[in-house]
Amino acid sequence: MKTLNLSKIKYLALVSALLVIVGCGSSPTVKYADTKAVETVNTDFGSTDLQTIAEKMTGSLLESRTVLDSREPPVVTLYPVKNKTSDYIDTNAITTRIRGRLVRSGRVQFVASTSEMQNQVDELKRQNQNGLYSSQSQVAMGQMTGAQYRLEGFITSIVKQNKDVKDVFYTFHLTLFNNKTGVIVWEDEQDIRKTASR
Amino acid sequence: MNNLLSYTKRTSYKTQLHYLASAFMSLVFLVSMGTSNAQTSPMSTVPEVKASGNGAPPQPQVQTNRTEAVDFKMTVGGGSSESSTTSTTSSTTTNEVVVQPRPKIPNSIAVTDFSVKREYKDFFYDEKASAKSSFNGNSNFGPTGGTQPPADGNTPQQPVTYSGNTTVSANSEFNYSKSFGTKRTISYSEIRGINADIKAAIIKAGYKVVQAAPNIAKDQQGDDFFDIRGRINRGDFGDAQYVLHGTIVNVDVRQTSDQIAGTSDYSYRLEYSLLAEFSLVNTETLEVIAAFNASGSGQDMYLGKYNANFVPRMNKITRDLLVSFGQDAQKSLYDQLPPLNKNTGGTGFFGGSNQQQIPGVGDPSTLKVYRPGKNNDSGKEPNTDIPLTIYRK
Repeated sequence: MKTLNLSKIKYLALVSALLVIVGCGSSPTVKYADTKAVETVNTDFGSTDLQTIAEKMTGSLLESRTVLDSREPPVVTLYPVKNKTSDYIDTNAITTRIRGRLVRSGRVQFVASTSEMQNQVDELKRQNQNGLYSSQSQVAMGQMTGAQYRLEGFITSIVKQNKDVKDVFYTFHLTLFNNKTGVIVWEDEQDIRKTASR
Repeated sequence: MNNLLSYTKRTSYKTQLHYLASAFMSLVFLVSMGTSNAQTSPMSTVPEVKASGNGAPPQPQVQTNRTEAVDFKMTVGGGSSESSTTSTTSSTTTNEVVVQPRPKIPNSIAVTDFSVKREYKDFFYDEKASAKSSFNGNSNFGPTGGTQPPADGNTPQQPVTYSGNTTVSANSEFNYSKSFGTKRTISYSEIRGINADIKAAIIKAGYKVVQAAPNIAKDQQGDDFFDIRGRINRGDFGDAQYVLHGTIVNVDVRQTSDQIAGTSDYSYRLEYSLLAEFSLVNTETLEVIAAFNASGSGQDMYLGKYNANFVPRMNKITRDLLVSFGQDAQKSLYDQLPPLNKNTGGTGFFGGSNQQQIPGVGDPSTLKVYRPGKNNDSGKEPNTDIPLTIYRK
């Protein structure tokens, strides 16, 4: 009985060691995928949602009269998009993507947003307040361009689920305000519905 | 004159009086048609006094009759004149000399410094208290009567009376006064050094700038410090045709410190702003030709953390203020300046100035284009003898 138990233990230890060795040696298969491919891993906010919203909003804003009727590209500042969903969503990634598309179009200009002001102020201080830079080359303070418009928005979600189905409805809302008059000059929203079922 | 005297000797006294009266009346009549002058012209025509344009005093012509020695004094200034005439005859008379005002320099503007009225209000509080007390005491005590006991002991002894007097006086004085209120002080002065850009704009526009006399406040000065009419009549602006009179309406000083959104830094700022009113007045007619307001501001700022030490650069603030103020004033001035009198010539901004105009030089209305010479292929000067095209407005 005692001998049998020992051999049994040795056998189990051997099997366990083998399993550990095999487990450590195997790696997941990695491959590059199409960045524009539809991602349907789950109902969380994903890359496809990000791309869809950015493309739709950019196209809509560029077709607005504010942009089309301006002789010079309107100067816009970007405000953070508020996340009103229960999930964690990096809204900065959405707005930055939209801003990038607008800037690359050449028809809209952006100035430093509130979240980017610290670096702007630090740079002005560095050039103007330490005596290191020549007066001809330093950028003068008080010459920043004020934004004519500001872009702000929010994202909300409605989630419904039972044991078999989960339905998520995202709404991304953007508004363009005229800073001088306070008038809303453009507004659009993009809806995304995602359903997961067992 | 001798003839006249010898003639009177041959006549009777009554006749002499008659002839003297006739001569006097004739003299008065003839002299009244002219004015006295050192150069006597017995049969001169009606005098005509014309003021010369170069500032020389006018030379009046005088018509007199049978006067031989005439002294004439005339002072031109501010339209007043004095004259006196003496004659060897018993009749002495002058007539009024009409002196036209000194002509103005065409297309000239005098620019005043900024007259400013400062009003200070200071709160004062004065409280005084003083206390003084004195105490005097005087006491006398001693015998007032009685005699010494006699030696024999028979004489009865007089009783000795002792009396005393004590005087005590005390005096106490306490003064207290309190006064408070607001003390109001008004001062009148001129601020210089602000109008340089405005003067430059006027010169660029083709006008001449005449230096104005300073406006100095008197004791007990009132608001007549701003009386531009009085200054014009006093001749503070020389012979300028116009005077640009500026008055400071308000000077604002703001010092702020605000946190910059999205950062941990503060913006410390000192800003001076100036608002002034201008009037362009014709010195002859006192007509206001143009009027406008101009404003400017200058600031210095500092970015730093909370409670940073901000030392503003006043020179930068002043320079920025003057530049922006001058630009604003120039813009309004150009919009309202009267057109230059081109008869005086010139090449100014509006087509003329008092300088001698050289045709074809600097005047865009006479632009000429010359055809290059035939042999102008080796760096020779182009043929400028024959203009190809002459463009005119």
